[in-house]
This record gives sequence, C-alpha cells and structure tokens, in this order.
Amino acid sequence: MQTLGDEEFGFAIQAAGGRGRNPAPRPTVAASAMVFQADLGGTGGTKLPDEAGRFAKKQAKRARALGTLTLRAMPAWLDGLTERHMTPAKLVAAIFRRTLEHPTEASVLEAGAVLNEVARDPKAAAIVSANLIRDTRRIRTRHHAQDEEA
Amino acid sequence: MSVEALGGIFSGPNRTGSATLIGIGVGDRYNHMSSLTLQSMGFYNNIQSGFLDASAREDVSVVLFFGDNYNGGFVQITWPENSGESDFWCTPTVKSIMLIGSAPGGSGQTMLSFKDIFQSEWDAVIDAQLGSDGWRRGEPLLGWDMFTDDPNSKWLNSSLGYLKVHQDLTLETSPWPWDYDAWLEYWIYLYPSGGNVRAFVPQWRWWVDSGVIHDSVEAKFKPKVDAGASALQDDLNSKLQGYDALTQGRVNDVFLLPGRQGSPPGSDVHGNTGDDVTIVIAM
Repeated sequence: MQTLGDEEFGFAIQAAGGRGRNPAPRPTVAASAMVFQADLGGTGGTKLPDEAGRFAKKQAKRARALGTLTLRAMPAWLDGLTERHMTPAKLVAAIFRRTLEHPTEASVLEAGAVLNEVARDPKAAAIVSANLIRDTRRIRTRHHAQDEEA
Repeated sequence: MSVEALGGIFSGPNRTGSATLIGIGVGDRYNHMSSLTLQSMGFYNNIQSGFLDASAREDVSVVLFFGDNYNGGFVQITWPENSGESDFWCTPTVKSIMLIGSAPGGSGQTMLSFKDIFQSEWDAVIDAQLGSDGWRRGEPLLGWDMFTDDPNSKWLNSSLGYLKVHQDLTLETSPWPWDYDAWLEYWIYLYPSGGNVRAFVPQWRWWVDSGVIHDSVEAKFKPKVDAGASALQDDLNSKLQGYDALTQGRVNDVFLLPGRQGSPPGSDVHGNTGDDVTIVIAM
C-alpha cells in the first residue's frame, strides 16, 4: 500500500473467504477523501445596457421557437371534433379547415401540435401528409388575401 | 401574427412518412426548432425531405444543422420572394432547424465576416491581458450561440443570438514547474446604437485545469478574464466605429447567419458554424 504522509492512499479490498462473489471494493476513509471533483470553471456576466436591452426586447419578439407547444388540456374545439367520432380523414380535414379559417401563427402552431398527435396512428400519418401538401398553399393564399384586405 | 411562409418536414423521402409544419411568422427574423424539440417530435436525425412555399414579401432561408442546437455543419436553402413552392431532400442526420426571414435580394443589408473584423483584435486583446502569465494555444474558435438553453448561461436570453469566442490557453505558473491548461469564452451581443452597430459582452466563462495549485492559478486568472470583457468590448467597438461611415446612422437591425456568406442568401450555402459567422447589418 502506498502512503502519502501518515494517510493511506489507495483502495482496500477485502478478501472474502469461501466461494461466491467478492464483495464490491470499499474505499478506505483516506481514499474517499482523495476523490477529485471535476472543475467546471466559472461564469461571470453583466446586464445589457438600457439601449441594448431595448433592442434585445424587440429582437426577442422576432425569434420564435417552433413546435414547442404543450397543451395542458384538450382545446374545446378539438374536444368538439373528437366527440363526433370522425374518421381520421375527416378529423384531419376538420383541423385543416379550422386553421384555414384563422391562419395565424398561433393557430398553425396549435394545428401542428395536434396533427403530430393525430399522426401517431400510421394510417392517420399518411392522411396528414397528404393534407399538409395541399393545404399549406391554401393557408398561405388565405393569409395573403387577409393581408390585402387589411 | 400571421404566417409569412409555410411548409413541412417529413421523416421519409419525397414527402412521405411522419410530417409536421414549419413556417415563419410575418415580421419574424428567426423561427427555429431545437434538438430537444425535434427529439420530442420524433424528427431528430429523422428528416429526409421537406418543402416550403415562398413568401410574397421576403426571402426565407431554411437552415438544416447537422449538429445540436444550431451548430456544426449546415446547409442553407433559400426561397427568394415569390419563388413558389419547392422541395428539399437531406440525409437523416439533421439535429436542429432554423428559418430566417430577410429582405428580398439582401436589399439594404451589409454582410460582414466575424472572423475578418474580430480575430486580429482578439489576438491583440488577449495577448495584452495575459502578458507574461500565459499564452494562446492556437487561434480562437469564433462561432455563435443561438437561442441557448444552457442553464449555466444565466446572463444570456434564450430568445437571442450571440457571437461566441472560445480560446484555449496555457497559464505560466512559475515557480511551480508545471504549466496549467485553461480556456476562456466570451459572448458578444451586437445592437444598433445611434443608428450604428455596437457590441456588448454580457457573459464570460473560464476553466482552469484541476490540480494542487488550481485555486491559486484560478484566483490569478479570473480577474484577467473579468477585465478582458470590458477591454474586448472597447476594442471591438473601436473597430465597429470604422463602419460608421458606411452605416451613417441608418442601422435598424443586426442579425447573424451561419458560416461565411459574402452575398445575400441566394443559392444554397454549405458550411460549418465553427468556420465563421456572418453579421448582417440591415439599414
């Protein structure tokens, strides 16, 4: 056993008599005190000055994380649709129809989250794909028409 | 807020397999899907095709990153305004996605290379700060940190993008005969000030190798890292003042593109976020 000053430096392994598995090695008190902790470094920082802070606030509003919507409860409109026990095709069509009526970023995000759930059924996934291609153009067209009216 | 451009991504080739919507809102600069989001939706390393229906008012780029959280190798595909709907295909190794809206044809935008304007300044600042106490190991890694979700980055806003510098160092520990490795990192935020571009350093981080004299080495190193933040900021702002004659107080936005892009997004761009970052000044 190596020594470091008066303290033991190393692992003590007890030899168990008889047959069977050896017990797990147990470090001595001295050895466990020698475990190095990984140093993660440090972090410093400071608040943005007012002018940069005002710009940051504006800029942050123009960056949006997609697809992170978590529904805490089933939206009333979806509850209404599922109560009617529609076929997957009709359900998907109804969700797209609703999004077409109100093509806002929030409604598209919500539709995306719901369609992702609907697509858990492989048959429904194919239907979502088919509708996605056809209806994104319709959503865009409708949105542009709304913009022109505005 | 309405939708400016809308499309989809698919787990299979040619618009097959699982699908979800992607898009960018009117007036938005970035819409993005992090690695965690793609994992939760089943699209992490599982996108093989997609499409986008172009905007009628701006150029929209889809950037596919082959690294986590908007880093690593990337391919940027751009849909110029009114270019209609078109598809893209990719290997199923995409780990994060970003959509970027920008002015049609890069109108009113000036593009600068982070590396070109920064690297020589950095070398001068760091060499002056270190003095005889250490030296740089190689050149810095000049990249970005976009929409960070690192809980240790408490000085950063997860809705913003920052330039990031990483530098490996060796610290001189005389009379102790063995030198210590260390690194430091600074984050830089660019913003318009009086219609010109200025920089601020909101966060810095350091690390010193473990060892018996770690604490004393770190105690000597940390104040230098702290002081380096304001020195770096001052030097960078002096450099940026050189562009005031170009911007003439007309800057209304500053944003970042991955890699080195000398011209406005047009044809496909391939690169790596570790190569460089493009600073776009919009006037």
